[in-house]
Amino acid sequence: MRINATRLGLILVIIGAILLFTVWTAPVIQFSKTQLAPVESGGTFAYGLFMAPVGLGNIVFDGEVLKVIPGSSGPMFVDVAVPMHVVVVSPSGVVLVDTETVTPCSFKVDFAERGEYVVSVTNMGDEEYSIPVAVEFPKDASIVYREADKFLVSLILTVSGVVLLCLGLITSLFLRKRKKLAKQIRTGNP
Amino acid sequence: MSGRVGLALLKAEIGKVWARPILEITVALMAVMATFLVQPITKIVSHSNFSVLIQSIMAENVSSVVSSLMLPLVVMCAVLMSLSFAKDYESGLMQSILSAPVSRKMLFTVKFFAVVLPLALLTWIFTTFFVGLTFYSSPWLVLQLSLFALPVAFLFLMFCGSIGALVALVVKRTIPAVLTAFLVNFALWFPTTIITEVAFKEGAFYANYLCLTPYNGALVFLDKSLGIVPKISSEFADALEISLSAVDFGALLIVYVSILMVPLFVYFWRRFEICE
Repeated sequence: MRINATRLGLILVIIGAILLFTVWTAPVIQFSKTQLAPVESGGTFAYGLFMAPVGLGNIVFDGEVLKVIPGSSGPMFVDVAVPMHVVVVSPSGVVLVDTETVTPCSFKVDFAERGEYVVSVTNMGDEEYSIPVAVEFPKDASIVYREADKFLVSLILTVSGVVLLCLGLITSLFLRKRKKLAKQIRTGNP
Repeated sequence: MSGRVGLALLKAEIGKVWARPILEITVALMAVMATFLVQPITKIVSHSNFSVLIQSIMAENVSSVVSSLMLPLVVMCAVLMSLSFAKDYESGLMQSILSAPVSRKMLFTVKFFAVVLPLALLTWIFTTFFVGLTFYSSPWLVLQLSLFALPVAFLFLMFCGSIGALVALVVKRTIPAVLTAFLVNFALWFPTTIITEVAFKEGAFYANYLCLTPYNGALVFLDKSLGIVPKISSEFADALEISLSAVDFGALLIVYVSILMVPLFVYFWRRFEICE
């Protein structure tokens, strides 16, 4: 199997273009509110957010407590204001948020890297509360979220494929022309 | 000497089978299936369990890439294998090659591996590439997990290729052989689209034996090797998919391959009428 520049270029263009199309048309990421464990008074719970580099988003916090409400069939989560300390650390170890606040609240975070964003919440209230976390992106029609790294890879593949394909085509055309010329010189035909 | 001849023959056969535009079509089909079926991964988990959970998500990602690549692989393997045997027979190339000092055993092996080896390698490369795109922060783990795709792909491609070769040697005409091999392999691949849990809940009699079909078995073998727990609820705890181990499924695949390939090899070597 001979893989010359033209074939390699074409293969790269195919993979790059398909990846580019998929990344371009990917839907906006949606998260549901996640609560993993109640946080006792003075205690800390750390969430790990596995995120793609999709740009600006909001990390949203709520405060909830499990209560029996008269008339309901069982205990239900009721929204409460929970004083807390939040620290958000990016995958490269940069502290993005470090503040004290009261739930419900949200913080704008630039998701510029792929990996684990560590979100630590410390319950500063006097009771045990659940502090669920969610990530929201504005549902503005003009905003398109793309995974920046995959977008870059697909662009590199497509562009390098096109360059290789053109180089291969030009080389083969040039070689064909030279062969034709050499044949003309050999046979003496003009 | 024979080794050198074999290598030269393999090189020539690979060049013939994978000539333009076969490789390009295969790559395009595999890229389409792998990218469209693998969704972006974003998760909120507990930080203390993060590495364990990410490893399991990565393993599931490897499994889903291989399962999405299975259809193009099966189709291409069946078509190329039957094309390789039937076209050479019909055009008289097989007779010409065998008039040279090339044994039938070598010709069969070369023809077989010229299709199966590049496809198995492509599977591994695509799995590594598409899983690595999402989890490039752990490259060694990606390489380690995607390596499981190689033996699994090799085994199910051997089975698929055996069917293609069998059809080609029986039919001996290019177009009918290609179409028959494609249809047979598609029919055998189809059970992989049935979800075992759903089949169990509907009370289907075949639910327990779905995992024993060749292509389903290959996917279950991969899942079990990667440590992925079968998604079947506890009420069907005695299901074969849960009770059998990865080794059992690996052995089952080897049995499937041997049942088809060994008699086919012996038939081609001893009985097949080349100068019909």
